[in-house]
Amino acid sequence: MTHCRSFVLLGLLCLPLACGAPHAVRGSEVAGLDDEAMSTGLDQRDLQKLLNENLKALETSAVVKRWEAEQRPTVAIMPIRNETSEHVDSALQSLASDIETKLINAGHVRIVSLEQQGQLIEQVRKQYTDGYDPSTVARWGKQVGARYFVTGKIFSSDEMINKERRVQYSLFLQVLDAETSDILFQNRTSLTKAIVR
Amino acid sequence: MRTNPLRSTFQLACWVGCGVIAAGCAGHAASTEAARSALDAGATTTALALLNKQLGVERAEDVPEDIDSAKTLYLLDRSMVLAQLQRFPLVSRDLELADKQLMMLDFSRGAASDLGKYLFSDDTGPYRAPGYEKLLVNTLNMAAYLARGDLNGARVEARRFAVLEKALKDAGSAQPQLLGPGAYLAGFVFEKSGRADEALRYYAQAADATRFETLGPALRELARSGQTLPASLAKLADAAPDAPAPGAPKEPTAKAPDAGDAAAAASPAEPATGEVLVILCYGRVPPKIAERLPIGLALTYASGAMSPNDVGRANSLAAQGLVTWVNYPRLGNPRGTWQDPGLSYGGQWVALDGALAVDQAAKTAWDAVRGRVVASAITRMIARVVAGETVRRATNDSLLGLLLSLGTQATMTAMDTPDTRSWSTLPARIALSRLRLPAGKHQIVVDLAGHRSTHEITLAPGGWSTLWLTELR
Repeated sequence: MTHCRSFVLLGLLCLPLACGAPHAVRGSEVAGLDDEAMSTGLDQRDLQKLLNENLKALETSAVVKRWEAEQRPTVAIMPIRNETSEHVDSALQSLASDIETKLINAGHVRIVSLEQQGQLIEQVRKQYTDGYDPSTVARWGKQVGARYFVTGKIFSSDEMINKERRVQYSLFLQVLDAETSDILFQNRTSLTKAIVR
Repeated sequence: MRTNPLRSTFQLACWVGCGVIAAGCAGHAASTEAARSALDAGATTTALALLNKQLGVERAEDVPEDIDSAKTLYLLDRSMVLAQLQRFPLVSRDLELADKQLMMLDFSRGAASDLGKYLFSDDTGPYRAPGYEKLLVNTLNMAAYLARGDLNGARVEARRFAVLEKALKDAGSAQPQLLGPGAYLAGFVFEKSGRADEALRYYAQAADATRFETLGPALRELARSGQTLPASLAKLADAAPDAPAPGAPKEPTAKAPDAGDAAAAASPAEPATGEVLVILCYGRVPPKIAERLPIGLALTYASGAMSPNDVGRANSLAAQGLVTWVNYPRLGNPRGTWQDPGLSYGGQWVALDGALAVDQAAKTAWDAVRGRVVASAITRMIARVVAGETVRRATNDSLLGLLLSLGTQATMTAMDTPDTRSWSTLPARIALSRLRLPAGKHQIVVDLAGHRSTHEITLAPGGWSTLWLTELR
């Protein structure tokens, strides 16, 4: 009886060792894999939510009517400013690319690609401060040949208490007039990520 | 001569037990000893290769697929070796991976691992980093982003630092002096981002931690630009020398060894200036070392952290001669030459602020938990003896029972590894300085841990640059 108990105990102790080997999977192979939150960063599902809500608001805004009246003006997508406590820059780059794709397919504007303007993008990404200086925005507009800029900024409220962490994100999508740096459109969407027990 | 076979078996069991015990005492510190020795010998790339091996990867560019407690610490160790090699993007990557893992490990710590600590081994369960290690992850990553000229990434780290600082303060475990370098760097980050309000908030926090004399001229500039300085910062600004000439280092003292080669560059008539932030990290924090502590001394250390019942049992077992030693992690000596670092420009010494004595913070943190660590070691020791006794009695005190009892105790002792886990390549000291210089190219001379090096800095008008040097010996 004692031996039997010992074997059962040994088996239970060994059980976690047998289950631990990591292996690669495809999203299509595991139900709900893309739905699961893996961290407090931004994943594909978060980006889709932020994108869809903002573009829905943009579609019905006055600035789109203005674009239609101007017969497809040139627009450049500038980097989205990261004001959070998470290193989500690559996710924000992906979001900017998604915005670009949606705008191209909607057909309201012509998109000026900034891919060849690496130095400018790096300058914007590394050095931008609280707001856009009008003279700088005008210079960028002339440099890339854009009439409007689509840009944004994302903020977070980050709290950590009792071995839990909550990050509340707020994304502001903006459309700027390149000549005047007036904000012609702004919309806010929010989402929360957390590590809970 | 005839030997008693049972006696031989007994002796064999003892030797096997001792061997297992010795093997079991290695712990985390032993696994990083070779890398630390390589750093002592100045073989930085060898240290990097050894840490890569511990991580199970070929190159510094690679990261392990599964990151557990041990690999989190190896990532932290590797990050500082990479900092010494000036490979700052990889420093950030390792620190960010470790930062997330440390948080998850901290959050995942539960009753099972606590129980394991008291039954099996001190390093059972996830690694729980002390506050100074957590704060320095964000502080040093801020330095890495600044060294790459990336204010965006540095701001993220500054915010992470602020979140952690608040959490530690709320938990009552934030020592003010630990916040000094992080707050200084965060202030610099926001000042250079054009956000003076936030910069001043961080500078005030830095000034509360340490009297940073090198902040004076920058604070005076902020005051000139219309910012209202809090009282603690106004004192620092007032104490700064009047109208520092561009290019003239603050508070020149004796003639520096490189005098004469760049003094002409300091021209008060030059209107366009930039600023250089200098971050010097040197030495290494004391590692934790596994050792056996006499039971009497262990009970002294653990007084106050053990119940009277456990103290009584331990004393009783000690009196019977059943226990004499306790497995215990001791804090070793910090590594480094404690000669102050030197910074000179244009032939004149430049003031450096000693931002943080990390080795002393490590000692303070260790002293705070030592009683509890020894108490858990004594409790494990009691558990081993009791388990052995139970086995012996279950076999009616037979010789086989005695052997099984010894085997049980030896196995449990082998499993009992003193917790020597720590961020062992963390620099022991951090020093900071700032120089306002005319735009253009400049040569800055640094004496750090017995080595002199010259660094060329290029400053754009109104620009800034960061020179971060690390010497882990």
